[in-house]
Amino acid sequence: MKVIAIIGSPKGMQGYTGALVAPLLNALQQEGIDTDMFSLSDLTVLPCKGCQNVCHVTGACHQKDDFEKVKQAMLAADGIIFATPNYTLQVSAQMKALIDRCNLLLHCQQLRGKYGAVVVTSGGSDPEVVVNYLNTVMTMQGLWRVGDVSAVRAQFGDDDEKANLMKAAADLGKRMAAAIKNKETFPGQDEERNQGFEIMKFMVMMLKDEWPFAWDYWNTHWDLTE
Amino acid sequence: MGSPRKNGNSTVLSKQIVEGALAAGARVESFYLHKMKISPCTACDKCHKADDRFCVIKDDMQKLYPKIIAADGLILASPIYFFTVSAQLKLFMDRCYALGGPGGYQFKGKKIAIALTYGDVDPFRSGAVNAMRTFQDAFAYVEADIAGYVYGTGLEQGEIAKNKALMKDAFDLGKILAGG
Repeated sequence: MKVIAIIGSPKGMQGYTGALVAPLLNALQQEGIDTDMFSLSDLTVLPCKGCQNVCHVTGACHQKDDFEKVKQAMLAADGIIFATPNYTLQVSAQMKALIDRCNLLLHCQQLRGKYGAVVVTSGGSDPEVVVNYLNTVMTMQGLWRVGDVSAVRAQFGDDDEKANLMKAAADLGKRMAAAIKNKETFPGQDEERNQGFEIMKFMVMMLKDEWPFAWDYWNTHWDLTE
Repeated sequence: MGSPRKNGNSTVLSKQIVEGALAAGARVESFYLHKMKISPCTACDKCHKADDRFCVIKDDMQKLYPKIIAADGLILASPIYFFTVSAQLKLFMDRCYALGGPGGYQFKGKKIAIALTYGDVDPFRSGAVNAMRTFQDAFAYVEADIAGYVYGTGLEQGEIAKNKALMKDAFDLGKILAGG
């Protein structure tokens, strides 16, 4: 069983975002889950070029950078942690480039059934808007949301608050480990998750002639008559 | 313009805003972000130090900083990718952090017009609402005024031009942006 963390902070594990990811990964390891970490600041993941959906035809993006490596790790993982600082009330551009490249994964629902968690840190404003965005990104791809942990910078300056944050991150790691081991489901998320599934199904059926890879993937992985 | 496609729908829509602004007497310069080299912000924070208020990353963003500072208004255009703006526009937005500092942001008092397009049927399902929420709060923070939004559906490249009502709205928004 494996969980990977994708870190959209330019400071990797050295920043506040990394400081919250560390106890989360530690907790997962203590529960016997293998972990891996992909810091986007050490990788090259370019923006989606909006080409005529080559990935939907062939199954892979034609841009030769590190995306394929991260994608294969996501596909192989049982759980994915999306961690980012709040920049302009959204995920960082590094994280957004990675997310945009997941276009085929979304349309094919290739991450459906995996477990997701979110880590967001913010300079001063409420990180909630970014947490909500990443929750949407996960739900529409069919991941089960295990939870999130977020903080504003000032909380790291207070010993008690910092300790609480570290504990919250570790607790999230434990919950994520349990969810994976017990194959938990979260019925409260079904409606939204299924809405995403239906939208993508509709899209792929509509574009089946232009998107042979996506159409074939749906035919071999999901029940199109649902 | 934050579309990777030269004649993408968001670009077509934003060009109508440009036309409206030109008609009202404004001068307009256009930049295609996808064709420019804009690296991610590295959070070094040098731009917010009192002695050095400019971004240390030497790339095409350096061409845009003086243009932004000199402009009275900005038109931002993006396709909706994954329920918000494209990574191309997000790279630009993150680097605009360098236009801030102890005295506030260089966006103060500027007027902003925004064009968003999406493949889905409405601004809620497509996630355009997320982008608008970000613009609303981020531009309020830097004390800029949003003159207006235009947004609509278009999947095939350029098909948004068929939406005559929307094209007129975009033209009118350009006039408002230019103070007409």
